[in-house]
Parts: sequence; structure tokens; C-alpha cells
Amino acid sequence: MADTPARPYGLLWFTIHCERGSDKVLIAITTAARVTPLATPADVERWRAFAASLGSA
Amino acid sequence: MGVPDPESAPRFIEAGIPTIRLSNIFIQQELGPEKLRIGQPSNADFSKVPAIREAPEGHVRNREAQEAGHFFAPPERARVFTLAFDHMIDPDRDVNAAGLVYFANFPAFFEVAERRAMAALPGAGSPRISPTAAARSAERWDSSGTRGPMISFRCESSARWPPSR
Repeated sequence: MADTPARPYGLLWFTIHCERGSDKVLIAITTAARVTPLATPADVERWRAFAASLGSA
Repeated sequence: MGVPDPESAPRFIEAGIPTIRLSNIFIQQELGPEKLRIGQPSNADFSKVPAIREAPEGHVRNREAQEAGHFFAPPERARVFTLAFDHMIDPDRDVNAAGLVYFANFPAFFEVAERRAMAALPGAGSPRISPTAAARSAERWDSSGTRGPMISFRCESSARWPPSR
């Protein structure tokens, strides 16, 4: 399927709170899951190192 | 092609035909973007537009996201980083005729925030780490009074390991 990511893949999760600068009132929230296709063993190893540098289990 | 009433929408969906529900809110500027009220055009007939009996499902999701702080939780075993930064509003590009931050620019704001978060994460900068969009949920509430000079982002991010297979 076109919307199915290549596997394996790395996953990045973002949640952004957008606040009005003048008074910090919350005006928007977004949550996104983004994937990075890992096409080669080197890509997988690079992602493993990246995740490890973030301290993710 | 239109769906004549909300009750018939499931039949379209079951047949594989997507349905779209659009909402419009008309605002009237009183003194400026700081003081707005919901209005209705005087030269339009809305009597044939049926009112819905219940709030759209998205309303509940948005309220839950506001309470939880996100639309869906981070991956299991992922360490979450919180980063904060400001984003300057460009009055020539980001503001609409009513003086409000243009709603259609928010996706671009989010993309900017994610890129800045990526750059600030430990270990970021690898040339092969170039995330592509997979899924996003977003809601914008009230941007009245947001005429600049900036909006602030608080971005939480995490990465999952091992990769999904």
C-alpha cells in the first residue's frame, strides 16, 4: 500500500504545543508520528545509534 | 457529490466512498483582532443547512488532547525530550486580512518546530535521518489576538528503538 512505510523503519514522535507569545495561551496542539525507512543494515545501525543517543530503550 | 443528511453517511462509507464534513465559522471584527465575535453573513440563507444534534467526534478528540497534552502517546520505552523555542510571525506572510495568524500556515509552523527539535536533539544531524510524515493529528484553537510578534513552541519528541519490522 502506498501509505505503508517501508520496513524496517525508525519512528519519531512529536507533540508540539503552540502558545501565543504575548500571554502564553495555548492556541494549538499537534502530535505526529514520523517514519524514516531503514533500507540498509547501515541505516538500521545508524538509527540504533541515534535512538541510543537519546536514551531510548 | 453530496451526502443529503448525516444519517446516510455510513452507507457511503461502507461502500468505500469517503465523506467530508466541512465547518465554517464567520467572525466579525469589532475593534481589531483582539476583539472578535462569531457572526453570520446578512445576505446568506442558512435555513436549509441542517444543524447537527451532537458535537462532531473531532470536538471530543480535541478536548481530550487538550487535557492529555497530546493526541496519542509516545512509543513505549521511548525517552521524551522537551524543547522550547520562539517563532517570529511574518506580518506579510503569516497574517490574514482580519489580522489573525493565518490558520493554513500552522502546518508550516509545526514543520519548522519539528525540524528545530530534530536539530536540537542529541545525536541529530545524521544525513540519513530524514523523517517523512506518517500520521498527524492537530487542532488549532483560538488565535485571536495573535498578531505577533511571535508564537512559542514547546516540542516533545522521542525516537523508538528497536525499529519496527
